[in-house]
Amino acid sequence: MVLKNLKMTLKRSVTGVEVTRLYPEKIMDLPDAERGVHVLDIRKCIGCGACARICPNDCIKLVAYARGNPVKNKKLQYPQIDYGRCMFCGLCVDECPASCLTMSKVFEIAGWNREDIVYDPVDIAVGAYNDQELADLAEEARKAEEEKKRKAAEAAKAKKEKAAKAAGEGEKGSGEKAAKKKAE
Amino acid sequence: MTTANDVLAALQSAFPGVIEEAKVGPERQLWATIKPDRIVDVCKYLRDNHSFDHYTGAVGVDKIDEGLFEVTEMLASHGAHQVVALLKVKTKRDGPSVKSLTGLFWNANWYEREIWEMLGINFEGHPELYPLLLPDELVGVWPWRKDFKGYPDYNTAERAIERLTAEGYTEYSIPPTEAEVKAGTVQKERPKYPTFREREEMEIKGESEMILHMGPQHAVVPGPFLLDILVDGERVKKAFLDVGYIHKGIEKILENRTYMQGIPITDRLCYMASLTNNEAYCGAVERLLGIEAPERAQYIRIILEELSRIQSHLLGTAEFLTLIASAVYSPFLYMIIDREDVLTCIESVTGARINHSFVRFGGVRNDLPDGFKDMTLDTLKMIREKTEEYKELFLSDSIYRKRMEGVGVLSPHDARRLGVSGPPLRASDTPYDMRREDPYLLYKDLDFDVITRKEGDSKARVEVRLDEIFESCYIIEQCLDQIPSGPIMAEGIPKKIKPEPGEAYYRVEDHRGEMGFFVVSDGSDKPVKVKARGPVYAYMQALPPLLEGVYIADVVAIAGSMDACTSEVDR
Repeated sequence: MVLKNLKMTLKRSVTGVEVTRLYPEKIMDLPDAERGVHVLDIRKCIGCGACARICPNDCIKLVAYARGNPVKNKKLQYPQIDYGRCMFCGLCVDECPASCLTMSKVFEIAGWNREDIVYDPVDIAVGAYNDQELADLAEEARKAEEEKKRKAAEAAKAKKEKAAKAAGEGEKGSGEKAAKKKAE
Repeated sequence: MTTANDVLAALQSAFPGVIEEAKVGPERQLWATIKPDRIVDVCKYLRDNHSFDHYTGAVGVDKIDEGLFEVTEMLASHGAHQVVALLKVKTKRDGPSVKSLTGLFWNANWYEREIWEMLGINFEGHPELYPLLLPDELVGVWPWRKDFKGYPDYNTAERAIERLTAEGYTEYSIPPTEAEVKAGTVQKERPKYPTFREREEMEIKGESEMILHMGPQHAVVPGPFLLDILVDGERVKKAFLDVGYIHKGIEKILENRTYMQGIPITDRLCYMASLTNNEAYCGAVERLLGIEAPERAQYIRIILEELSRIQSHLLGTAEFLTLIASAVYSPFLYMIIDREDVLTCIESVTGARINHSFVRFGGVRNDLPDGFKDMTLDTLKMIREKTEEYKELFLSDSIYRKRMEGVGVLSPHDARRLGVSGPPLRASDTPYDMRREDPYLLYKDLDFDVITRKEGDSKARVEVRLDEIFESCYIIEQCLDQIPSGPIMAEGIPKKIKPEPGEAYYRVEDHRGEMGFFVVSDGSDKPVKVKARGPVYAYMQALPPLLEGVYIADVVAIAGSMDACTSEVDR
């Protein structure tokens, strides 16, 4: 019996199973499905707040961040995540309608105080725009807005005209009718 | 073969006019509303004539709109048939009282005590109505009632009063309300859990007796719980168990979350069994929604749950070996090393190592990644080899056998009476396994044995766990061969989950035994009541009678062989 135990111990120690890693230098292989710190594709986010609503621990807040896409996200509000409360369940990722929120393999989030582990959009964003692109986008957004306003104005005008026409026709119609009646 | 309809017909002919409402649900479930004064007779009739000898638990629901409390008693059978009887009793909201079933079923004790302390329903004839999970100060505020406003009451800040004791601790007390003073119904003495001194005075009779503490913080308990043993010399005369040190109020939290947000919370019942907890909860909500997961999703669930069973049994055995030989740590570490590989397999699908939150209503979160099959088959091969080795090493070890054989014997009759399930029950020669008994998912298509042992002692319980690892490996291999391609989520699942009003009970075979979720919906996006019926709750309740008459040195061997988890008991 003793020999058997000894044999197992020896086998275990000889057949090099790597158990202890040299941690900060050597990190274990993580799968693609890993649920670590979030990554926000700032070009896709529409600022709908679905992630904040589904969060069971209420750790996502929408805050202002200027380097986003003003065409898609007019108010420029992006999620800020408090990792002091996050339990990495991944419901926010499942819920995201624009598929812009994903989870990365990064898991090292230690900080010196609680504020350090509240990640603003700038900390989790990828694909932030540079100044030129931002200016272009702002221009595009402005144009889109103008276009929309123009269309709205046109529509309103058309509606008004239609209404006026209808009213005119109505008047006319009633006038005609009245005339007809008179004639009769 | 008995069906739910047969039982209903028999009940109606034996008790005319007693059954107010009855329906036969899916999966051999019989739902019936019984007149409150006849519930004991009905249960006695079912137990004696239709072999409903397994008391599964009781659920208390606060129906505040109707001014009623509902207590649902759940009865099943140990293998004679597969019908689950869910018998409802209604009682008024003011002065609620229900007849106790402790006279019929020994293990009704804790379930009823919990309903009493949480909802304030009196159980007539219950032998010991004192708090189980709550501290003494919280008795009388009835935290599961729907009109409970928090403690201390944040809305009025009136109910609880802070007071410094002479020793410098803060104590809370609840002064009587004006209405109570006017009506003259002020409770003079609240039922209290006996203190250590009181217990000593009550129980110690002779010169040779003393009370020994094990816990709440002790090297040999798997979580904080207090085990006081009254010893006479070397023998244990009586054992007292006090739980509730880590009561988290998970069932109350679930009532305040949407159905979807509840999934990560159920992980926290017990991190070893997070996948099966997800499965039980999602299964119950799926029954309410009337949807079923597609075939591929069901296979993925089975694969991951069986992998999870392997890692749980490995850690359970490892912990047990540490407990019986407290100083020796190597078996623990050997099994932990093997378990890491299993966890890596699970992680490659779910993305987390212990708290998975993986199962969804009508499917699963992720599909299997590329190369999962090869990785899992390699791991299973390794696990098989290693488990063989462990069995050879310590199950045939003469010292181990001397220590374990014939220690803490649960006879089949006792095991059924005490209401345990899972490996401890199967070690007592009762082949009761939910995967075979009440086949959920696609277990009915799979080939596996239900492992049993005749002895019922500590060694048999560990052997059952180790043998189940082989069965799980076999099940996973079949699934990996059979798994079809296809979608992993059912179609037509609403974005916002709002089930129709109704109740559902769904039970699965946890690693430790029978895990059931009872979910009540009122048509809104949050459940009215979620009850988690855990397996370890039943083990823990059965511990004191099991410990009577053993040596002090065997207490740890018996308690450890149960593979308990305090987190799930306290919830």
